[in-house]
Amino acid sequence: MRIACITILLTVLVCIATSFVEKKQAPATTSLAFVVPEGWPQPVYDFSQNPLTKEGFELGRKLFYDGRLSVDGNFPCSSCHQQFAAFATYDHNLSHGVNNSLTTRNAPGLFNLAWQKEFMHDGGINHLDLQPLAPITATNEMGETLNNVLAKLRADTTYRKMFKAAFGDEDINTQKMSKALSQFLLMMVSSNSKYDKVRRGEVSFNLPERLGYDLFKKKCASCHTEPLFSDYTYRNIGVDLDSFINDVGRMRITRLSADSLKFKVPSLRNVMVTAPYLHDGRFYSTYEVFNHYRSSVVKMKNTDSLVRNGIPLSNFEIGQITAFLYTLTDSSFLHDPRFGPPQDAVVPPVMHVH
Amino acid sequence: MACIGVMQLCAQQKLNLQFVNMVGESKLNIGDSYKTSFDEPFTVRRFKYYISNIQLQDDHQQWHKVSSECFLVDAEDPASQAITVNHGLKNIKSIKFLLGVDSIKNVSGVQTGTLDPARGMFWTWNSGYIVAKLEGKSSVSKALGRYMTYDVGGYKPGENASRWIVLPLTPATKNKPLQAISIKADVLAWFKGENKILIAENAVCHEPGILAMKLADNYSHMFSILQKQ
Repeated sequence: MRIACITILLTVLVCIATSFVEKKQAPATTSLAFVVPEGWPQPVYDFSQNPLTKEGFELGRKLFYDGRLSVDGNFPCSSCHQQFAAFATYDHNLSHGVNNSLTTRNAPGLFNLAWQKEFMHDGGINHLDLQPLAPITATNEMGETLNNVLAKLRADTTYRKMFKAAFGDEDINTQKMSKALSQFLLMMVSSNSKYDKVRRGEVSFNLPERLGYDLFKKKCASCHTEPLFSDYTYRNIGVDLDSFINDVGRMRITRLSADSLKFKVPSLRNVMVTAPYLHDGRFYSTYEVFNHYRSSVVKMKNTDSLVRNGIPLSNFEIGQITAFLYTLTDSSFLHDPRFGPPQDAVVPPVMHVH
Repeated sequence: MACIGVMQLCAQQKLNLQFVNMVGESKLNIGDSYKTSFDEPFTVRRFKYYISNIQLQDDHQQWHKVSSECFLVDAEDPASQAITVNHGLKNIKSIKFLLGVDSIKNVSGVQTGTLDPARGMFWTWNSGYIVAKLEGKSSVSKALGRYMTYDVGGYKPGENASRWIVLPLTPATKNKPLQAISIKADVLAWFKGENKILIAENAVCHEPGILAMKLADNYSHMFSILQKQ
């Protein structure tokens, strides 16, 4: 009896103590649900290390659209990642950086990043949180130093408030900045295209789309695997080296000659709004890409066996596959106000960067 | 983790580690001219390296991890060259530490403190820490600006540039355990050792791989005990 009493007393005490601690320490954040679309694999991002909150997301969104992350103030992340282009760059083969510089690569679209293990066309970056550090510090992209970016953020009252709201204190460091950016990027899930609606039984393909889908499954889907439309492997698709840019792709990261000119298989979701195509944007239309596969594949030692002998495609088939590719455009994603600039954002006018 | 907790309970002694950056027998001064053992002249602008997983060995050959921190020793920052650890050992036979960073930290996103990528010891385009950095100029360098820049890192199998360092502390000091050790870090070791590094041939290392591993094998011999008390 006595022991029971003591136990109860202790429990009560512990409860009181914990409730006090919780009240004092738990930051008042609103958690955001990450919904895995039906039939999709589990994401690879470890959300336990960066729980999504409304406050973290809004901070990430502000950072994404803030030119102060670049050295001259004109190059926010959004200058190369435009929402209407599924966060790729509209009409630029190579991305533009500060001081009229050009990068060596075409900016990829940003969506469904929670399912990606590695980033960049060569997969050199092994964690989503690390990804923004590369463009911020590259002299031909945003051209800034991390310490300068952090100093600018620390000097801004609004940012101090937002970091406190998201992470519990006003201390601003690289980790918190990149976690906030990741929260914004992770929420960018594109899963509401016509293709998805067909999968969910809400609508049906028309005839060309259906014929195109059948052809797609036969001729494209081994690399552009559903439902993400990429298997995220690195492949040499028989595109020869631009000896001026001299980008050897995956080999730059692994230093293995077997990886020469291999690049990550891009997702084909939203493909019709992300032209130009390939790692260096050398093809301006999907038609040029099809033409490459049917007649211009260069046979190198490590050209992928799936495309080595070309992919036979008639003009008729190309038309049908194109009809199907249009069903991968997710217009609700392209116009989702959650992913647009925050209301008070002063985004550099597009003319500055084009 | 539990073991660290137990050790902290009985940790009563302090051991001060002082890293002394040198070039052969001379103290390293930023900007001064030195020569490698192969008579190649050079100056040093930056010299930085990570020290982690510090462990001490007792009389029974047991190793005790005395710190989970990762320290960044920087030739330009005297405060970074002094490290204090707590321990509960009666006698310290040897000291062991990792010159470098645990490989898990290379694949776990953005870290804080000395491992914050803003400290300039991280490759952003090919994720991974720079384990050690020796940068300066040399009139024999064939790189642009006559620069000599050895940024050595890599964590993947076959490219791991971190090295375990073991330094014996015998004979023991009488009656009381050691209180302070000065550890010499000799820049000259980068050029000689298993691999002969000529600045005229290789003035630049900016990625993991063969050259980084050669430099790492060399710098694994750069530490020695200068003084203990």
